[in-house]
Amino acid sequence: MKCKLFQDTPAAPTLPPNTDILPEGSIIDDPSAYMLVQIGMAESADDECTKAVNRTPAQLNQARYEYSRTKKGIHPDDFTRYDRGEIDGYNMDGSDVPGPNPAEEDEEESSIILPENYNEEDD
Amino acid sequence: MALIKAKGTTLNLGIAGASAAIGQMISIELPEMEVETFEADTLDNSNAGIPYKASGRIEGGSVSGDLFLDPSVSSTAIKGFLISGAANLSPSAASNTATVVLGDGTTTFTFATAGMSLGGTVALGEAVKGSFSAKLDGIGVWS
Repeated sequence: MKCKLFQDTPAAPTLPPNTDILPEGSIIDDPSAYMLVQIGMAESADDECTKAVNRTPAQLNQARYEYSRTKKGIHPDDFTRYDRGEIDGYNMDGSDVPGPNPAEEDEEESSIILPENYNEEDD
Repeated sequence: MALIKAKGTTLNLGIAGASAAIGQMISIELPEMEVETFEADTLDNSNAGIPYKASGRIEGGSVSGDLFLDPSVSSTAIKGFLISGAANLSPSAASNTATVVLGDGTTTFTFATAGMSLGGTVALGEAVKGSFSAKLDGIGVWS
């Protein structure tokens, strides 16, 4: 059963730790290859895998999108902001990496509350 | 003092030779590794305190965590890991080894598991959550 990776992917963890990378487009031939497709990391590369995946194209597209979010370590609290394109990940200091559609910063509100009948010309 | 942020941390499991990140994680508990000790008291000990000595072994503990459960995606990876891990008795095999990549993107905690569990909670007023636990085989490695 074969699948083809969408993007560069770290090889399975080992002890001692490795830093091996499976390049984009790598074909993985493994009985569990269909799981990588279901997760959104890869696409089927043979009929056996396609049959085992058992997902609609829409479900696979959604899984691929969600995996791109997962890989960036986006916390569920930030899913909405990620989906709106406001953030694309986190910097080393914990601040947001701006997304393609960054949120406009709110104008700083004044803490002075003026009476309803206030008129600047009266001053 | 160096601080490593938690945001951006991922748990990655080995599936089909690739490292698969688990989606919708909420929290991860790293293992409390502990040196095994034994009571080394003797009848002629005149002190009130009970002496203990290290046995020379280390209990690896377990890694656990919570996630928003999505049976179609997030738990697929854990399920696959359960299956491949259960079928494989070799502690060095990639199929039962996982790594936690911390939020800085470079610090990792890699561990082999002897077994894993996955459960879930359905409660009014909350999203369906899953919880997992992985018993370490040996001790984990920070790098």
